[in-house]
Amino acid sequence: MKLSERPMEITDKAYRFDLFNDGIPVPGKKCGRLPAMGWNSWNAFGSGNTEVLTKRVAERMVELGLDKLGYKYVVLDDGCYKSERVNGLLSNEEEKFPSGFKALADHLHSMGLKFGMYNDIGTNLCAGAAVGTCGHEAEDAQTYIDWDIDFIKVDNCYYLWDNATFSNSENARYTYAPAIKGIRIKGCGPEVYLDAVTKGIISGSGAVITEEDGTGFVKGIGTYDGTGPDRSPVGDLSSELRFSILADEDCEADIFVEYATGREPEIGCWLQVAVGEGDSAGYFYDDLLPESGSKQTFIESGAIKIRLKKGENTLRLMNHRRQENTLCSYAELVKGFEDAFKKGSQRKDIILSICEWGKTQPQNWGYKVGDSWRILNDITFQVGADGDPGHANWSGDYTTGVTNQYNKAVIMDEYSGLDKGWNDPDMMMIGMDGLDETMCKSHMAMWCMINSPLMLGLDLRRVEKGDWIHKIISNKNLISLNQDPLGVQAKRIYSSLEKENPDKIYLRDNKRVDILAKPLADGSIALAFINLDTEDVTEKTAADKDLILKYLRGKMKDADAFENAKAYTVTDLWSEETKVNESGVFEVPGLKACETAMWRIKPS
Amino acid sequence: MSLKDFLTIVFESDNAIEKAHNLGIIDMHETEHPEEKILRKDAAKILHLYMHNVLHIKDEEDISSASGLKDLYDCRVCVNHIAQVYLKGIMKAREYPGGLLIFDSNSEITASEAKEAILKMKG
Repeated sequence: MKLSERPMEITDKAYRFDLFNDGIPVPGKKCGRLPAMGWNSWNAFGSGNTEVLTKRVAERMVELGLDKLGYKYVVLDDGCYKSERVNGLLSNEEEKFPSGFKALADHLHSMGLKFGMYNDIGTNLCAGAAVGTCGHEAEDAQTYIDWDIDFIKVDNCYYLWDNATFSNSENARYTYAPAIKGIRIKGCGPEVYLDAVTKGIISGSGAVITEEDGTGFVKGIGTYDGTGPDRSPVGDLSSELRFSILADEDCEADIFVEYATGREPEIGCWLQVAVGEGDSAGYFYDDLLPESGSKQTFIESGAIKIRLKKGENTLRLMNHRRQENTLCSYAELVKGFEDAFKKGSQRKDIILSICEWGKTQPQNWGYKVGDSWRILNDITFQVGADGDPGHANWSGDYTTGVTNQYNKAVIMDEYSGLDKGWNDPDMMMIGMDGLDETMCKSHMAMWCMINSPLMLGLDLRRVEKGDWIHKIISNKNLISLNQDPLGVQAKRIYSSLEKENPDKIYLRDNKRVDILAKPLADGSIALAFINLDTEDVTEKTAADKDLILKYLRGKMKDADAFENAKAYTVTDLWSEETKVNESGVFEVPGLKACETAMWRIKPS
Repeated sequence: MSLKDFLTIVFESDNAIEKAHNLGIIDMHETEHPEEKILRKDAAKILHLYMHNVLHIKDEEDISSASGLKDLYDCRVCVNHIAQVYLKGIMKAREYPGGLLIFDSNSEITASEAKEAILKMKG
């Protein structure tokens, strides 16, 4: 099959950046699901997972009673397919999975569990097998339905339209606009040249005015890469170069863009031209521009015809394709499932777990197609194998660590919800080497409070009923927060390092205590005091009801009842000890290193 | 250098492909393509797994000091393999002007690099 040479043409505005906030998912995307719970093979076995190991882990899920607590999905990650397609179709790696995936699905279903698989929107999977869904969405969707899957995690390696992992780095040409020096407008009044530096307006965040060899221009017109931890996920994550153009009447004009192309982040080749914003925006160009020869060589484009309306017009030069391309690729797979159901396959729920590592800021668009979206690169790269638990960090380099993931996810609550889906700070590392019991308790507490999918990532053969790992992953009080039907991610209402906007400011210094508050369906709230530091904290930390209401009032089941309560029943979610609080001030005298105090507070 | 040539030096054996597969060092699809050129990331994986599975050498727990390699995290599934062989001094980074250290995981390993790395690994 010949793959396309450029990203698909976008003919439906529903996939445009301008409509990311319209709240409308694509056909086939179901809303109202709580975070998925289960086990994924990657952290436990990496590419070395097998049918035998999977079945044994599934048995342990049942023997340990985890299935009864909601852990239902058994997900095969990378490394389970034959390395190439067979007659154009996916097939099982015969040594590792000799019975095939339908048989495994039947086996897991007979145990009352659900079956999940893995693929990629690129040409290959991250571990190398050339069986990505790119260009095969329809037949792969049918195959997955035939295999009776319930869940699919879809990665982003070898992606053709972005400089993703293992992709051609020059794919950045699709995701950044060229450097722009100015535009010439002909028609609709006298011909004018508008210099980008002096007449252009940079909107959003990312584009910059640059001067090289006496030439001023604007570069960086595109969307930030969110794979790494450096940037906050909140606020503007892309930028445009805009010009305000006054027209005496409705008219048509030609614009000529003076530009220089590159094939690298900040200077690409793909330009979008629009007039106006939102649903009423008119799109007049959305394609590669002819290459200029070098990023220092500015040339003028051919005429791009635009339409202006009488009065003030906003002309936008931009490139939102990083987000739009990725959305379209995931949407193709959703469409594949939907088409297969329409053709007669029995309709069933299939969870879509988006795993593009936060690269294209999926918190903006993921809800349209998926049930959850990864927010960063992997939580650990030191995954286990049969006989090796792998290694985890509390706080590590890059994205590797419990706190590295938490620090980003904790300010992303406004992007999640029952009507959208869930931020995914990756599979849990409880039970891997490198995290002690206190750290694992906090890890579980964080993932439950922030409504992350609860995907266990350990070899469950190492767990016994009643041991400390089992006690943590089977804590019903915590799981009930994650699975609470109100479906609201906790909000950070206090941080010892940020008093003004703790819910919005991206904090990466772990020498701090955070307080998270989460409204629950029965009118109570959950409160978590988290010491992220690896040193004990001896000072008292407190939150009163006014602080809680300041952040949660609009999200609570009955804020007035909470505000006017004469007393509160406070239950420690670890010890289950209950106390009555009449002051409305909830405080901890101190916290051990990496410790989390967790309470459920019910007004009475 | 091909996968087969590289494994033949590692195992000092003519049926190195089979041995490597039996030891979980290469996957089935790699056994089907022994003539494939071996990249530096593939070499890192093989050497790391040989150390782990055959020589029973313990992994470095803290791999953060390998993050000086600018391209370390470009290869998600081989980060640990690269970090382990780099930190143990088995494979070197390539230094570029300005002190930039790159592992160059997608470039082919040269015969001399391969021999030097295998020699170091075997002590």
